[in-house]
Amino acid sequence: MQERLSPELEAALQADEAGALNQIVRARKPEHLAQLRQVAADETAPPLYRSRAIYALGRWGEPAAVADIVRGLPTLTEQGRLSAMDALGRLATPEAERVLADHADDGSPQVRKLVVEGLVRAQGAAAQSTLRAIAERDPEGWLRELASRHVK
Amino acid sequence: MFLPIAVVTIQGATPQPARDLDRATLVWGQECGVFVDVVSSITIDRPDLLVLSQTDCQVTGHVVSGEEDALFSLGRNTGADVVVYYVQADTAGFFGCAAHPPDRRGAWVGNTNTEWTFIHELTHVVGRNLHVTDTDNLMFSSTAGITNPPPELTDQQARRILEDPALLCVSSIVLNC
Repeated sequence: MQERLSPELEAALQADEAGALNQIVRARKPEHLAQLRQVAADETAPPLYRSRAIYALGRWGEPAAVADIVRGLPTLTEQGRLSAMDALGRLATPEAERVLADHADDGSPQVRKLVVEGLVRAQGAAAQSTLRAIAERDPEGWLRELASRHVK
Repeated sequence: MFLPIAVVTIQGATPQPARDLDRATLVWGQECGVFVDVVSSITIDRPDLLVLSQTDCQVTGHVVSGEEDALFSLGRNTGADVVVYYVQADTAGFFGCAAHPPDRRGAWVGNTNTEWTFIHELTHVVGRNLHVTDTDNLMFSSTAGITNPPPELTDQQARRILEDPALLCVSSIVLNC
């Protein structure tokens, strides 16, 4: 990783639970936002740090973080993609919605579940067509049912 | 004394319940003479709850998500006040969380938990113990960073556990009183 993380943020990224990271998001220190963005896009950072940083960025609500998340996506684990879909749904920019739709065929059913939840949360113009496609064609019955609940 | 708990495993999760109970006995049994008794254990096919979408994991001001509400409704009415849920993970890959709906005490634990996560989360729920900075203590915020295992409890932490209304004494069962 390029820049040293603050001890407070490093402890939150290592913790068993999300509580400390939730507090960092609530405190909204600019240096923490910069460090979270850096970790999210850094393919040399520990995978769990990246997942958790992306989770925090989604809750921070900073639209500029979408680019960092998208840049790091190709090198994320399944857990990282879960965090990314969750965060993109919360950030809800047109770019975030496009990337969510691109992952409607992700190999992980759990990632596809987060795609559905993200699209529902984003409520953008293209969300309905992707939700409809998942409702009609996803190989998992429970996911078709989940998506169909949100098709208008 | 013992703590009756119910365990709910969401199908697809890969818990190690024997290890977790062993570590619980190692800490609670030695430090305050309390043993965890699993009175009910079920596996439920709910793939929509395998990866839990949780709003936050805050001690105060916790906002209960829809999925958390659904998860913490499972495994109730078994005679245990506290329910532990084994899931794959939350959306961030945290190991567990003891924040819960106000009327349904419990915690969830994910696949990537450490050997101390289960009893760490139970110690949040039972006695409402908070994190500490002592790395030898069970309630250090990162159980992967615990030093000199098995971890310890302070007298105050042990007392808070012992004062929890969910605990039962063995004589109350034997004498049915």
